[in-house]
Amino acid sequence: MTREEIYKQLDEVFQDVFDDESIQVNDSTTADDIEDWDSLEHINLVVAIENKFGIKFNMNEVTSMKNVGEMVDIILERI
Amino acid sequence: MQIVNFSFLIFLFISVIVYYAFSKKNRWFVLLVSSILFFLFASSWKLLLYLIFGIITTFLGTNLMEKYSKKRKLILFLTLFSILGPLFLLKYFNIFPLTINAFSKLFSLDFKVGTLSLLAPLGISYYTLSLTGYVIDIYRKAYKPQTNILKHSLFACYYPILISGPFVRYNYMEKELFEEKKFNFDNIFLGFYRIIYGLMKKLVIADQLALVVNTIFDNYTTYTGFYIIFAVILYAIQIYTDFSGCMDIIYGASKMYDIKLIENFDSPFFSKNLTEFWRRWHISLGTWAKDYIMYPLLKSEIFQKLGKSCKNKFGKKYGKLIPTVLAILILWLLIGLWHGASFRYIFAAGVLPWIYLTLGQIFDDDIKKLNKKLHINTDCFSFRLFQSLRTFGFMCIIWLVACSPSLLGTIDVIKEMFVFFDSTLIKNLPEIPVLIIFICSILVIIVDYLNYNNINVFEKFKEQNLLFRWFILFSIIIIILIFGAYGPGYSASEFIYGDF
Repeated sequence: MTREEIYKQLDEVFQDVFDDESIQVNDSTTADDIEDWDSLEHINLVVAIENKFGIKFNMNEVTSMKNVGEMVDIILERI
Repeated sequence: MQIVNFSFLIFLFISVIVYYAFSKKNRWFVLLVSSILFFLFASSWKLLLYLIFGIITTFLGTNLMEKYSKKRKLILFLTLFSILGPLFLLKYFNIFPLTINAFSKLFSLDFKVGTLSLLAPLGISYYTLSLTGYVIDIYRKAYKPQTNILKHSLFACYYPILISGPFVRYNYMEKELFEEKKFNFDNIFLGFYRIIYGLMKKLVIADQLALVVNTIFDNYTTYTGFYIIFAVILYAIQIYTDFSGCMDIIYGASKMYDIKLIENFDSPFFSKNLTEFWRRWHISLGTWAKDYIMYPLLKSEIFQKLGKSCKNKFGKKYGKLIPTVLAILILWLLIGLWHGASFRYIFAAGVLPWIYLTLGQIFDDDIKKLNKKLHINTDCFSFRLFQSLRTFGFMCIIWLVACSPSLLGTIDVIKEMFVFFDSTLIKNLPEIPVLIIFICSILVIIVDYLNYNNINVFEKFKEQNLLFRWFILFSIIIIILIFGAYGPGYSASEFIYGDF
């Protein structure tokens, strides 16, 4: 799967978790860019991404990912 | 040794001189010796044994985990048990006899269980949780463990944070504590400004207000009605200036060694809602609880299964909401317990925040829709003010419970709140320098407002002309010396959060 394909699927996950079909994410997207992305929604988002891609993030990654780009790097490593 | 004390300033001064007198490579060692000396001055050598035990078990545990990778889970549990055990025994064991005694009283039984009264070492709640986080991080392979036991010891007992935190993560502190630091006068000045600002908050505002707050709450059947509401509002200011003032002193002391600690407050009273308030109040506790309690809970298989079954039964919204609400209940009960082994704290600092956050989670969307329907402009100053006042009001309910003599006693205090009050009693309240407290409080509000807008007041202050800086600094020092609650007739009360 290419980075672009991952982003396509990630957009769907983000839109579903945050109930907002206008969300488009990129490497530099952070929690500050999406209104409802708080600490509680973060874990829901992580689990939704895990289910979508059939991968697991470890706890260290969950708490230290700084932007969507880092998330995609990990997804690319695992799929 | 208390940190609101002249001897602390002398201790800090000598320690900073010795620190910079040593070579850059060995400066951390001065911090270790300073920390042990500080502990011995403030506590006792017998209590130092608890700290040493915690240091040794976590040092062995983390390094064994690295060596015996297959047994890391077992080593994790043993290490956590050995470090959390003493904390539980010394600070939270009494919750059991207190529960039994409360039920015994409720059912009018003549049965009472004795409580444990063991002395806890200085900063046990703080160093234990920081070490617990470190052990879990090593288990999660977030970074490599420290192999030098002396450096490991400094992480555990770095003295400024033994007093009231903040909780620190090893991967952040490693760089701050052990990297070679150059001497820079700016750090000494910035640290000094911050200490003076903290002393002003503590001695001129918090400790003076405490005199009035304590008088009213100790005699709430006399000072009824408006006095109680007044005391809760003053307590809100007191607890904030006390805790954040303490953090200013800790932050300032650290800055003098060129060690930058993570901020524990970020203008909490400007928060729009309670979720934001807790993101800005005691930040390091919130981050710790999120990383080591809430996320592991929500990511656990049990919570995942619960979420799926709730989603199938009640739909998407509740599939997300129910596990979240359950996880934040566990989280807040533990935070409540951390504040003190009493029902009062568990309710005030645990159950009430949970109720607020749960209601927020349930009704957030509906409130947004209602605002839209009623054409309320939510993007203007008046609405922002309303939101901040609403948040403050909710927090005052929590602090009302925290100030009451007991959880059941809160009901009596609330009843007295609705009793007619005698305005002449105001003369009997302790005399405090109202105008000075007011001016200092305005200064705190301005500093917080600028900080809220990402302006670092201390950095800006450093850029001003020397004459202006010294004029302001000396004015504040004189205000502290004349109007601070210290010296004969006063005793600088211990920091509220130092007890937790």
